[in-house]
Amino acid sequence: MNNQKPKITIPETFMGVPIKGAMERVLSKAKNQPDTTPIQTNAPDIQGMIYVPSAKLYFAKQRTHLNLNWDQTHETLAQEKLRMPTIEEFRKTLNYLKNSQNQEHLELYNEITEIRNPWRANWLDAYFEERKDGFYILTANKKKAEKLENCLMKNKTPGISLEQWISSTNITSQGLPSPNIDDGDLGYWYPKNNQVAGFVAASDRAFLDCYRSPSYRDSGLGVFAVADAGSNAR
Amino acid sequence: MNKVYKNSTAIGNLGGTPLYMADLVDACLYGRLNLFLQGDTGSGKTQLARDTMGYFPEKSMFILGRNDMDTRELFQQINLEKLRTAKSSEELKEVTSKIDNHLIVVDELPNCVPAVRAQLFNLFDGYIEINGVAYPIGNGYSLGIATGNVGQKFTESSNELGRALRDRMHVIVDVDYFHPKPSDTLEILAGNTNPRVEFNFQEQASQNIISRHKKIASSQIPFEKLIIANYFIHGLDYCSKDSKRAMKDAWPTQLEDHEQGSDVGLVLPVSTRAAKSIVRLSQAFDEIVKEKNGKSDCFESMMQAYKLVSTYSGVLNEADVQNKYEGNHYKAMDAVITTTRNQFENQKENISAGLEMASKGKKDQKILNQFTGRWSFIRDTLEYILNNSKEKK
Repeated sequence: MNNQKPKITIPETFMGVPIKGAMERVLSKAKNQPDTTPIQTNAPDIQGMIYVPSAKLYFAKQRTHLNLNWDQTHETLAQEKLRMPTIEEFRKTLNYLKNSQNQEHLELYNEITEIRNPWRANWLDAYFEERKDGFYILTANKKKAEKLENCLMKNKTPGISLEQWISSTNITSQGLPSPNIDDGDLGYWYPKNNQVAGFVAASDRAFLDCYRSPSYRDSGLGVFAVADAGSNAR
Repeated sequence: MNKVYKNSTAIGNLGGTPLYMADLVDACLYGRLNLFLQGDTGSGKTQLARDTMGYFPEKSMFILGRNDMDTRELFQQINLEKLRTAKSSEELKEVTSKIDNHLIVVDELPNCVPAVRAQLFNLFDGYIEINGVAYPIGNGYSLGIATGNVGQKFTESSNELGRALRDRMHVIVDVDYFHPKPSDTLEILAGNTNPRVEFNFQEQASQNIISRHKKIASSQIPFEKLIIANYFIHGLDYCSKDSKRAMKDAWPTQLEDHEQGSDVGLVLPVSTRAAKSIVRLSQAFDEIVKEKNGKSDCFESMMQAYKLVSTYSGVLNEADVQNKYEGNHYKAMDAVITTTRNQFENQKENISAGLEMASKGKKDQKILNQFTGRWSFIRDTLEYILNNSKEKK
């Protein structure tokens, strides 16, 4: 068997661009020009948050940290003494916002769930992992592992009942729909190994997605940061 | 060679040099790539295959697909000298000189039952199995050209023939999309009104083809082509669900909405085997353009090769082809190529910087950070080059 590695010769140009000096050009461009990617790393201050009594946390009024992947979002939030909401916290918050008499809260609910353009997506703190002894849900940026409770383990399109999911009917304590949840309009992708959760709303549907690649990033994808009540978040 | 098949409709253009159907056939010969010619009855596909046999007058074989065929019979004969000594009828048989054939043409291949097709595909793989022994065909150079008319959806995954074709034919082309011009048909009609397919054995050109094949096979692949091929394998695999390949049947329905409107939802990545075919065909195109005194361009030659290898290889989202591209597979592939071109235009400076970093042998995280999303594979490529250079030191 031939185990020799093939010879790779680095060319002098790539698609007409000279290799020599390319590093300097790229690095100086990145340094001198303002970053046009819509990354927002300034976390909202505690005044920019809504207190959700049922979840005992503050929930950001704005989606931030756009265009970061799941791990980067966790890292950046931690630096700002904030964190990503779990599925259950997110669900409880939606329930609180929907039933609020406050116009701002209702607008925020619509911002998250309304079926319209543009595409909006939010990371949730849930990483799914298949282990020898079963399927696990990892939260707190994968630091806390719990066995996944008996939840709906098949995709539902058009979906499950948003009403039931939000109002704690036929759901697990981890915030996932139970197998007996009613049909409805909220799309649902069931948990897959090494994938994470997110909540997405777009022009044709909204969905709870437990089959998202943690490495994905997009300018429409961010997070509604949360801070625990009593925390010293900005 | 005086060819009977005439078609001046260009299938592509490289740096101002047009490429025709005959050039594609020549490129497949240079690259030693099996070719399937799909087309309606009377479209000239059989004539094109016959013309190609003219390159190998004594070393080509024409087989008309039929269900009761045993391909082993084509390569065996009875040795009468062994009549007295042989202990069984099998010992009487020996492999004939047909084993030296370089080109095997199978006309109307889809007419054969799957068992026969499987035997024919083995011939295309370059060997014949007789009594448990695999005999190589063509002394190191052989390929197959097959023709057939199996309709528009001939490469759908649900179709047994489609799967087999995708597995064994490196290039699948629908000749109906590149119909001869009126001037071509006028020339054909004025020259000869014989409606039958003509054999056209000309001077032996086989050595020229084989030597060009050896040259292409042994030449170093330009680095730019390796990066482009890796983009087809890995870059086109990237999606919100991590990997289109891993999504299997969930692709493209479970993609995000905005992905479904882009090339992410339109095309799957190519297999490593298909990527090899793309690189090989591209190298052959470059050789043909050089013969025509033209100047080829690495990127464009790879795009032409990608189009001809992949359009019918099952990578396109059939529903999108039907709904958004009027059922025209080549049009859908042109859209993918346009996006690919834009992607590379936007990244070429970064890739150049990455290559400079690799040539200096020192990792620079800021440079590596330029490669995200579908370009993440470049990080791995650069790190491979860095590690390789360290090992050599």
